[in-house]
Amino acid sequence: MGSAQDRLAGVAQKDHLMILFQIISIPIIAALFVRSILNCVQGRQRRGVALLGMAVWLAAGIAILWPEVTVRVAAIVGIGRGADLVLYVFVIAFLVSCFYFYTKILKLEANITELVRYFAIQNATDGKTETETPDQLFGVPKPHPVEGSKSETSPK
Amino acid sequence: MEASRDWRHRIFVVMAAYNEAKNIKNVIDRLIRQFSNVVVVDDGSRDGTDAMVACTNVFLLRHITNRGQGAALQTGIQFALLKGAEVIVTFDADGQHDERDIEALVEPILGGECDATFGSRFLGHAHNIPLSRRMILKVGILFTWAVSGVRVSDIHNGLRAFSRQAASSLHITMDRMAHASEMLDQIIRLGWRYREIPVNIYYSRESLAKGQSSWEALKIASQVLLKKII
Repeated sequence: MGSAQDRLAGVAQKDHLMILFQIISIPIIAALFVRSILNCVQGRQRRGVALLGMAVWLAAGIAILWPEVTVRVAAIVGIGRGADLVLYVFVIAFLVSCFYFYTKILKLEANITELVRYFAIQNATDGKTETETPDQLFGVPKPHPVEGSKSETSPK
Repeated sequence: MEASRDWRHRIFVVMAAYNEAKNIKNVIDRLIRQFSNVVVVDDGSRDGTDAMVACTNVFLLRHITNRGQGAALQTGIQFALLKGAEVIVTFDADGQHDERDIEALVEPILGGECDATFGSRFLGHAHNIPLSRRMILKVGILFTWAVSGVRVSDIHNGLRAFSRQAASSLHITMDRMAHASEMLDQIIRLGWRYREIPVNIYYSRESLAKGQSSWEALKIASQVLLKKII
Protein backbone atom coordinates (compact mmCIF):
# COMPACT_ATOMS: atom_id res chain seq x y z
CA MET A 1 0.00 0.00 0.00
CA GLY A 2 2.82 2.33 1.05
CA SER A 3 4.81 1.63 -2.10
CA ALA A 4 1.69 2.09 -4.29
CA GLN A 5 1.12 5.42 -2.57
CA ASP A 6 4.74 6.37 -3.23
CA ARG A 7 4.36 5.42 -6.88
CA LEU A 8 1.21 7.49 -7.18
CA ALA A 9 2.96 10.43 -5.52
CA GLY A 10 5.87 10.08 -7.98
CA VAL A 11 3.55 10.05 -10.98
CA ALA A 12 1.65 13.07 -9.63
CA GLN A 13 4.95 14.95 -9.17
CA LYS A 14 6.01 14.09 -12.72
CA ASP A 15 2.67 15.28 -14.07
CA HIS A 16 3.00 18.46 -12.04
CA LEU A 17 6.47 19.15 -13.48
CA MET A 18 5.22 18.36 -16.97
CA ILE A 19 2.37 20.85 -16.60
CA LEU A 20 4.85 23.45 -15.29
CA PHE A 21 7.11 22.80 -18.29
CA GLN A 22 4.14 23.14 -20.63
CA ILE A 23 3.04 26.39 -18.99
CA ILE A 24 6.53 27.86 -19.50
CA SER A 25 7.36 26.53 -22.94
CA ILE A 26 4.05 26.62 -24.84
CA PRO A 27 3.70 30.45 -24.80
CA ILE A 28 7.28 30.78 -26.03
CA ILE A 29 6.74 28.24 -28.80
CA ALA A 30 3.42 29.85 -29.71
CA ALA A 31 5.14 33.23 -30.01
CA LEU A 32 7.86 31.76 -32.22
CA PHE A 33 5.20 30.06 -34.36
CA VAL A 34 3.33 33.35 -34.82
CA ARG A 35 6.64 35.07 -35.66
CA SER A 36 7.30 32.49 -38.38
CA ILE A 37 3.86 33.18 -39.85
CA LEU A 38 4.51 36.92 -39.83
CA ASN A 39 7.95 36.43 -41.40
CA CYS A 40 6.31 34.46 -44.20
CA VAL A 41 3.41 36.84 -44.74
CA GLN A 42 5.53 40.00 -44.58
CA GLY A 43 8.25 38.54 -46.80
CA ARG A 44 11.00 38.98 -44.18
CA GLN A 45 12.14 35.44 -44.76
CA ARG A 46 12.16 33.18 -47.76
CA ARG A 47 8.88 31.24 -47.92
CA GLY A 48 10.58 27.84 -47.63
CA VAL A 49 12.55 28.88 -44.55
CA ALA A 50 9.49 30.41 -42.87
CA LEU A 51 7.38 27.32 -43.60
CA LEU A 52 10.13 25.11 -42.18
CA GLY A 53 10.21 27.28 -39.06
CA MET A 54 6.41 26.98 -38.67
CA ALA A 55 6.59 23.21 -39.07
CA VAL A 56 9.34 22.94 -36.42
CA TRP A 57 7.50 25.07 -33.85
CA LEU A 58 4.20 23.30 -34.55
CA ALA A 59 5.82 19.89 -34.10
CA ALA A 60 7.53 21.05 -30.90
CA GLY A 61 4.26 22.40 -29.52
CA ILE A 62 2.36 19.19 -30.28
CA ALA A 63 5.10 17.04 -28.73
CA ILE A 64 5.05 19.13 -25.55
CA LEU A 65 1.25 19.40 -25.22
CA TRP A 66 0.54 15.78 -26.16
CA PRO A 67 3.66 13.70 -25.45
CA GLU A 68 1.74 10.49 -26.27
CA VAL A 69 1.74 11.59 -29.93
CA THR A 70 5.51 11.01 -30.08
CA VAL A 71 4.96 7.53 -28.66
CA ARG A 72 2.42 6.69 -31.39
CA VAL A 73 4.62 8.11 -34.18
CA ALA A 74 7.64 6.24 -32.80
CA ALA A 75 5.65 2.99 -32.86
CA ILE A 76 4.59 3.62 -36.47
CA VAL A 77 8.18 4.10 -37.64
CA GLY A 78 9.49 1.21 -35.55
CA ILE A 79 11.37 3.14 -32.87
CA GLY A 80 10.95 2.00 -29.28
CA ARG A 81 10.14 5.18 -27.36
CA GLY A 82 8.84 8.64 -28.12
CA ALA A 83 11.91 10.15 -26.48
CA ASP A 84 14.14 8.09 -28.78
CA LEU A 85 12.23 9.44 -31.81
CA VAL A 86 12.76 13.00 -30.62
CA LEU A 87 16.46 12.30 -30.05
CA TYR A 88 16.98 10.75 -33.51
CA VAL A 89 15.17 13.62 -35.23
CA PHE A 90 17.27 16.08 -33.23
CA VAL A 91 20.55 14.34 -34.20
CA ILE A 92 19.62 14.36 -37.92
CA ALA A 93 18.58 18.01 -37.76
CA PHE A 94 21.82 18.86 -35.95
CA LEU A 95 24.00 17.14 -38.57
CA VAL A 96 22.12 18.81 -41.41
CA SER A 97 22.59 22.17 -39.69
CA CYS A 98 26.31 21.51 -39.24
CA PHE A 99 26.77 20.81 -42.96
CA TYR A 100 24.68 23.86 -43.84
CA PHE A 101 26.65 26.22 -41.64
CA TYR A 102 29.99 24.71 -42.66
CA THR A 103 29.27 25.37 -46.32
CA LYS A 104 28.09 28.87 -45.42
CA ILE A 105 31.35 29.51 -43.58
CA LEU A 106 33.37 28.21 -46.53
CA LYS A 107 31.53 30.61 -48.86
CA LEU A 108 32.09 33.51 -46.47
CA GLU A 109 35.80 32.71 -46.24
CA ALA A 110 36.01 32.58 -50.03
CA ASN A 111 34.29 35.98 -50.29
CA ILE A 112 36.68 37.50 -47.76
CA THR A 113 39.64 36.13 -49.70
CA GLU A 114 38.29 37.61 -52.94
CA LEU A 115 37.93 41.03 -51.30
CA VAL A 116 41.41 40.89 -49.76
CA ARG A 117 42.83 39.80 -53.11
CA TYR A 118 41.09 42.63 -54.95
CA PHE A 119 42.58 45.24 -52.61
CA ALA A 120 46.01 43.62 -52.77
CA ILE A 121 46.12 43.69 -56.58
CA GLN A 122 44.68 47.20 -56.79
CA ASN A 123 47.34 48.47 -54.39
CA ALA A 124 50.33 46.57 -55.73
CA THR A 125 53.62 48.46 -55.61
CA ASP A 126 56.85 47.85 -57.45
CA GLY A 127 59.52 48.98 -55.04
CA LYS A 128 60.24 52.16 -57.00
CA THR A 129 57.45 54.24 -55.45
CA GLU A 130 56.99 55.18 -51.81
CA THR A 131 54.55 52.96 -50.02
CA GLU A 132 52.21 53.33 -47.12
CA THR A 133 51.36 50.71 -44.56
CA PRO A 134 48.34 48.45 -45.11
CA ASP A 135 46.67 49.97 -42.05
CA GLN A 136 46.44 53.21 -43.95
CA LEU A 137 44.37 51.63 -46.70
CA PHE A 138 41.26 52.97 -45.03
CA GLY A 139 41.26 56.73 -44.81
CA VAL A 140 44.63 57.64 -46.35
CA PRO A 141 45.22 58.00 -50.11
CA LYS A 142 46.40 54.68 -51.49
CA PRO A 143 49.96 54.25 -52.81
CA HIS A 144 50.62 55.00 -56.44
CA PRO A 145 49.40 51.88 -58.27
CA VAL A 146 51.71 50.04 -60.63
CA GLU A 147 51.07 50.34 -64.36
CA GLY A 148 49.36 47.21 -65.50
CA SER A 149 47.87 46.28 -62.14
CA LYS A 150 44.41 46.92 -63.60
CA SER A 151 44.31 46.13 -67.26
CA GLU A 152 47.63 46.28 -69.11
CA THR A 153 49.17 43.00 -70.08
CA SER A 154 52.58 44.00 -71.46
CA PRO A 155 55.47 42.28 -69.71
CA LYS A 156 57.94 44.27 -67.58
CA MET B 1 69.56 27.33 -71.69
CA GLU B 2 69.61 27.21 -75.48
CA ALA B 3 66.05 28.49 -75.92
CA SER B 4 65.87 32.29 -76.02
CA ARG B 5 68.55 34.18 -74.16
CA ASP B 6 66.03 36.47 -72.53
CA TRP B 7 64.09 33.58 -70.98
CA ARG B 8 64.58 34.98 -67.49
CA HIS B 9 62.50 38.04 -68.40
CA ARG B 10 59.60 35.80 -69.35
CA ILE B 11 59.49 34.29 -65.86
CA PHE B 12 57.56 35.68 -62.90
CA VAL B 13 58.60 34.28 -59.54
CA VAL B 14 55.74 34.42 -57.03
CA MET B 15 56.30 34.14 -53.29
CA ALA B 16 53.74 34.07 -50.50
CA ALA B 17 55.25 35.48 -47.31
CA TYR B 18 53.91 35.38 -43.80
CA ASN B 19 56.04 36.74 -40.95
CA GLU B 20 59.27 36.23 -42.87
CA ALA B 21 60.96 39.54 -41.99
CA LYS B 22 64.15 37.68 -40.98
CA ASN B 23 64.56 35.73 -44.22
CA ILE B 24 62.70 37.56 -46.95
CA LYS B 25 65.38 40.11 -47.90
CA ASN B 26 68.01 37.41 -48.30
CA VAL B 27 65.68 35.31 -50.48
CA ILE B 28 64.74 38.32 -52.61
CA ASP B 29 68.39 39.34 -53.05
CA ARG B 30 69.20 35.86 -54.36
CA LEU B 31 66.27 35.91 -56.77
CA ILE B 32 66.68 39.39 -58.21
CA ARG B 33 70.26 38.58 -59.23
CA GLN B 34 68.69 36.29 -61.83
CA PHE B 35 65.07 37.36 -62.30
CA SER B 36 63.66 40.80 -62.90
CA ASN B 37 60.05 39.86 -62.19
CA VAL B 38 59.63 38.85 -58.59
CA VAL B 39 56.22 39.12 -56.90
CA VAL B 40 55.90 38.95 -53.13
CA VAL B 41 52.47 38.63 -51.58
CA ASP B 42 52.60 39.61 -47.93
CA ASP B 43 49.85 37.56 -46.34
CA GLY B 44 48.94 39.85 -43.46
CA SER B 45 52.30 39.64 -41.69
CA ARG B 46 52.68 41.31 -38.31
CA ASP B 47 56.47 41.40 -38.11
CA GLY B 48 57.27 44.05 -40.70
CA THR B 49 57.73 41.68 -43.65
CA ASP B 50 56.08 44.20 -45.97
CA ALA B 51 58.47 46.95 -44.88
CA MET B 52 61.45 44.66 -45.63
CA VAL B 53 60.07 43.85 -49.08
CA ALA B 54 59.19 47.49 -49.84
CA CYS B 55 62.91 48.35 -49.65
CA THR B 56 63.64 46.03 -52.58
CA ASN B 57 62.92 46.30 -56.26
CA VAL B 58 60.15 43.71 -56.47
CA PHE B 59 56.38 43.75 -56.81
CA LEU B 60 54.71 43.83 -53.40
CA LEU B 61 51.08 42.94 -52.79
CA ARG B 62 49.61 43.01 -49.31
CA HIS B 63 46.76 40.97 -47.94
CA ILE B 64 45.26 43.16 -45.23
CA THR B 65 44.46 40.06 -43.24
CA ASN B 66 46.05 36.63 -43.20
CA ARG B 67 44.29 34.34 -45.67
CA GLY B 68 46.76 31.46 -46.04
CA GLN B 69 49.49 30.41 -48.41
CA GLY B 70 47.10 29.07 -51.03
CA ALA B 71 45.20 32.35 -51.15
CA ALA B 72 48.42 34.39 -51.32
CA LEU B 73 49.79 32.29 -54.17
CA GLN B 74 46.55 32.67 -56.14
CA THR B 75 46.79 36.45 -55.63
CA GLY B 76 50.38 36.44 -56.86
CA ILE B 77 49.56 34.22 -59.84
CA GLN B 78 46.64 36.43 -60.84
CA PHE B 79 48.84 39.51 -60.62
CA ALA B 80 51.62 37.89 -62.64
CA LEU B 81 49.10 36.98 -65.36
CA LEU B 82 47.89 40.59 -65.43
CA LYS B 83 51.49 41.66 -65.95
CA GLY B 84 51.86 39.31 -68.91
CA ALA B 85 53.87 36.48 -67.38
CA GLU B 86 54.65 33.61 -69.76
CA VAL B 87 55.81 31.24 -67.06
CA ILE B 88 54.99 31.52 -63.37
CA VAL B 89 57.17 29.94 -60.70
CA THR B 90 56.03 29.58 -57.10
CA PHE B 91 58.88 29.82 -54.61
CA ASP B 92 58.88 29.62 -50.82
CA ALA B 93 59.81 32.74 -48.88
CA ASP B 94 61.51 30.93 -46.01
CA GLY B 95 64.77 30.25 -47.84
CA GLN B 96 64.23 26.49 -48.24
CA HIS B 97 64.35 26.58 -52.01
CA ASP B 98 67.34 27.00 -54.29
CA GLU B 99 66.88 29.60 -57.02
CA ARG B 100 69.33 27.63 -59.19
CA ASP B 101 66.64 24.94 -59.55
CA ILE B 102 64.31 27.34 -61.35
CA GLU B 103 66.06 26.92 -64.69
CA ALA B 104 65.47 23.15 -64.66
CA LEU B 105 61.85 23.75 -63.70
CA VAL B 106 61.03 26.18 -66.52
CA GLU B 107 63.08 24.62 -69.32
CA PRO B 108 60.48 21.93 -70.25
CA ILE B 109 57.71 24.53 -70.19
CA LEU B 110 59.56 27.04 -72.35
CA GLY B 111 60.47 24.18 -74.67
CA GLY B 112 56.77 23.26 -75.02
CA GLU B 113 57.29 19.78 -73.58
CA CYS B 114 54.84 20.26 -70.74
CA ASP B 115 52.56 22.82 -69.09
CA ALA B 116 53.50 22.42 -65.44
CA THR B 117 56.48 21.16 -63.48
CA PHE B 118 56.56 20.17 -59.83
CA GLY B 119 59.76 20.14 -57.84
CA SER B 120 60.53 16.95 -55.92
CA ARG B 121 62.94 16.83 -53.01
CA PHE B 122 62.78 13.04 -53.06
CA LEU B 123 63.99 12.93 -56.67
CA GLY B 124 66.52 15.63 -55.81
CA HIS B 125 67.93 16.22 -52.37
CA ALA B 126 66.42 17.27 -49.01
CA HIS B 127 69.26 18.63 -46.89
CA ASN B 128 68.90 18.15 -43.13
CA ILE B 129 65.38 16.77 -43.37
CA PRO B 130 64.35 15.18 -40.07
CA LEU B 131 63.03 11.63 -40.23
CA SER B 132 59.67 12.67 -38.78
CA ARG B 133 59.18 15.27 -41.51
CA ARG B 134 60.15 12.75 -44.18
CA MET B 135 57.59 10.30 -42.80
CA ILE B 136 54.80 12.89 -42.67
CA LEU B 137 55.49 13.84 -46.29
CA LYS B 138 55.54 10.21 -47.39
CA VAL B 139 52.18 9.61 -45.70
CA GLY B 140 50.88 12.68 -47.51
CA ILE B 141 51.96 11.17 -50.82
CA LEU B 142 50.14 7.91 -50.02
CA PHE B 143 47.05 9.84 -49.00
CA THR B 144 47.05 11.79 -52.27
CA TRP B 145 47.40 8.55 -54.18
CA ALA B 146 44.49 7.00 -52.30
CA VAL B 147 42.18 10.00 -52.61
CA SER B 148 43.06 11.41 -56.03
CA GLY B 149 44.59 8.40 -57.74
CA VAL B 150 47.66 10.52 -58.51
CA ARG B 151 51.12 9.28 -57.72
CA VAL B 152 53.80 11.94 -57.34
CA SER B 153 56.96 11.75 -55.31
CA ASP B 154 56.58 15.10 -53.51
CA ILE B 155 53.12 16.66 -53.28
CA HIS B 156 53.85 19.43 -50.77
CA ASN B 157 56.80 21.07 -52.49
CA GLY B 158 56.26 24.79 -52.98
CA LEU B 159 58.64 24.98 -55.94
CA ARG B 160 56.52 24.65 -59.08
CA ALA B 161 56.21 26.23 -62.49
CA PHE B 162 53.23 26.75 -64.77
CA SER B 163 52.82 27.93 -68.32
CA ARG B 164 50.62 30.98 -68.74
CA GLN B 165 47.78 28.83 -70.08
CA ALA B 166 47.96 26.35 -67.21
CA ALA B 167 48.21 29.14 -64.63
CA SER B 168 45.20 30.92 -66.16
CA SER B 169 43.08 27.82 -65.69
CA LEU B 170 44.06 27.40 -62.05
CA HIS B 171 41.67 28.60 -59.39
CA ILE B 172 42.92 27.82 -55.92
CA THR B 173 39.99 27.74 -53.50
CA MET B 174 41.75 26.09 -50.57
CA ASP B 175 43.30 29.09 -48.89
CA ARG B 176 45.54 27.27 -46.42
CA MET B 177 48.06 24.46 -46.85
CA ALA B 178 45.75 22.05 -48.69
CA HIS B 179 46.22 24.15 -51.86
CA ALA B 180 49.14 21.96 -52.94
CA SER B 181 46.85 18.95 -53.42
CA GLU B 182 44.26 21.14 -55.10
CA MET B 183 46.78 22.54 -57.60
CA LEU B 184 47.92 19.11 -58.67
CA ASP B 185 44.33 17.91 -58.83
CA GLN B 186 43.31 20.76 -61.11
CA ILE B 187 46.33 20.41 -63.38
CA ILE B 188 45.58 16.73 -63.92
CA ARG B 189 41.81 17.12 -64.20
CA LEU B 190 42.18 19.86 -66.83
CA GLY B 191 44.51 17.69 -68.86
CA TRP B 192 47.68 19.78 -68.62
CA ARG B 193 50.94 17.92 -69.16
CA TYR B 194 53.12 17.87 -66.07
CA ARG B 195 56.46 16.58 -64.99
CA GLU B 196 58.42 16.19 -61.77
CA ILE B 197 61.82 17.82 -61.55
CA PRO B 198 64.53 17.02 -58.97
CA VAL B 199 65.16 20.02 -56.73
CA ASN B 200 67.03 20.83 -53.54
CA ILE B 201 65.39 21.74 -50.25
CA TYR B 202 67.45 23.15 -47.39
CA TYR B 203 65.97 22.81 -43.92
CA SER B 204 66.83 25.23 -41.16
CA ARG B 205 65.57 25.45 -37.60
CA GLU B 206 63.21 28.31 -38.51
CA SER B 207 61.80 26.59 -41.58
CA LEU B 208 61.26 23.36 -39.63
CA ALA B 209 59.43 25.28 -36.91
CA LYS B 210 57.11 26.76 -39.53
CA GLY B 211 56.65 23.60 -41.54
CA GLN B 212 53.93 21.01 -41.31
CA SER B 213 53.46 19.27 -38.02
CA SER B 214 51.46 16.05 -37.71
CA TRP B 215 48.48 18.12 -36.62
CA GLU B 216 48.76 20.34 -39.68
CA ALA B 217 49.04 17.24 -41.88
CA LEU B 218 45.82 15.89 -40.35
CA LYS B 219 44.07 19.19 -40.96
CA ILE B 220 45.16 19.18 -44.60
CA ALA B 221 43.92 15.61 -45.05
CA SER B 222 40.52 16.44 -43.54
CA GLN B 223 40.18 19.58 -45.69
CA VAL B 224 40.97 17.60 -48.84
CA LEU B 225 38.42 14.91 -47.91
CA LEU B 226 35.71 17.44 -47.01
CA LYS B 227 36.30 19.27 -50.28
CA LYS B 228 35.65 16.04 -52.15
CA ILE B 229 32.37 15.51 -50.27
CA ILE B 230 30.95 19.04 -50.09
